Amino acid sequence: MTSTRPYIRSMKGWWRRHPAYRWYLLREATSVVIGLYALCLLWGMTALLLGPGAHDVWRACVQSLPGRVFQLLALAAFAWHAWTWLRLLPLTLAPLRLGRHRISQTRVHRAALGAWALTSVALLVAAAGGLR
Amino acid sequence: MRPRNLEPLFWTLFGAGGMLAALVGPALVLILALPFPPGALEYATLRGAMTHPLVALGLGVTVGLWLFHAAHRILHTLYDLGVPHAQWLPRVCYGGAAAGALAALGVALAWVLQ
Amino acid sequence: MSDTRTIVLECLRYHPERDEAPYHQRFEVPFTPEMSVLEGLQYIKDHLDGSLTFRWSCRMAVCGNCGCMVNGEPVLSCQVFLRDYHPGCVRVEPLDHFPIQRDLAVDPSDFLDKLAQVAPYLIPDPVRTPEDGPHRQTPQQMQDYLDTSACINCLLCYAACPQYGLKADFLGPAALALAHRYNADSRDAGRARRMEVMNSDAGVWGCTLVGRCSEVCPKGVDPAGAINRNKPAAALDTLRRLLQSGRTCTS
Repeated sequence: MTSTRPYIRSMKGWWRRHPAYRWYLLREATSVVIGLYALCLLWGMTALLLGPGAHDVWRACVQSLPGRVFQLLALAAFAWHAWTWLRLLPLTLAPLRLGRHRISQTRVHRAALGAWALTSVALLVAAAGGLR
Repeated sequence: MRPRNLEPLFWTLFGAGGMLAALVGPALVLILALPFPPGALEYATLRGAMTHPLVALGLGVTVGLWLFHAAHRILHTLYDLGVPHAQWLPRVCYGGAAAGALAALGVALAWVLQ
Repeated sequence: MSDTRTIVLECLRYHPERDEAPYHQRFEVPFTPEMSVLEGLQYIKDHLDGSLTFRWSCRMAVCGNCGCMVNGEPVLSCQVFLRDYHPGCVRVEPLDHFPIQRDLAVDPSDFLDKLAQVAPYLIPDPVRTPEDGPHRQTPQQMQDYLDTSACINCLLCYAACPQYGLKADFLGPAALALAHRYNADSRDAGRARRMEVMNSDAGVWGCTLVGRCSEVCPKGVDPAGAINRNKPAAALDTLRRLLQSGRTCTS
């Protein structure tokens, strides 16, 4: 005997079914902030090219209260993006080998975090030297 | 043989942008937000930094790839949230990203050539 | 017996010939510490309501038949214990994202169709016959696919994957992980054939790396990893095709 009328459940509001789905959507939502921040940088480098007047407008916006709130949000978004991105990075790489042994995903994750720390420090040092 | 679709190419740009956002994003935001060092946002200081071709080109490429990263994720999240698959939606997302990336590269080149 | 307690099992019921829509029914089940949720369901069928429908076979997490949602988590019902939910209640529902056939039984035919699409078997080149003798590989070559070969087709990963629920075409975690399992096997030469389905929106590009599939797998398979490791290869395949089509256009 076969069922003639299988019941198909709706996917409406699927993210309400598990916290992991909401964490996933939060991870994806960082992209909105990253996109807006990229536009802000594009505006900044264009304004700088146009001259001191345009640059002053950009800097006033960046240093206004809404601008500061946005940058705080951007910092949180970039940090969360970096954390989740590097955690999932080993899943996208083909298993690396060292001789006979496969390098574990934990090792790859740690190496990625190390690279993140190194790049961040290098950027801060470069800024300290170059932006005087 | 024709490629089946362009999704893999957009995914590659998304991945490159995501990698750059993870590695340099937080530090870059921190430098401009603090600002660090103090006075970093002064016109003359920033101009001095941008005259270095590596800084200008690096920033241009970074901005372009971040836009592709954002466009790709936003598009797929909209699908996740139940927005119907329409032909114009990816065109707007990737078209916008491509326009922004071209502008960023153009400005970066202008910095290098001046 | 002194260590017998009572727990409430709330089962989803749906009999298509009788019910318009599914509903939940509460059963009070006496249980001992070693009783699994599956044994709770069997108690209901034996003593409270013989019409409760659910699938099971091996009772030891090998056959992959008894998967269901327990309090919203996809699990093998033979592998979770009633004692761990006491004194709360246990809500048992059919696996998410599949059509409900009857009570806790879902219709898995969509998965079976998709599994066949990825050619989940060795495709040796040249073709071998039993006269050729055993097809040898080194322990290291075996390591390349051993973890993905543990899949028991229990469909928990499908119930954990919103992309499978959202996209009718998406091949889903287990089918793609099995495609990877055969691609990674040194005795196989079917990679190019599988690339046709893997490098498509229904294939690896349907995955957005939610990652729940790997968390719920009872066999330690990592479908999220298996799928995403194929994305760079699929992207290269597309690039190769673009270059080839460019060459044929100019010539």
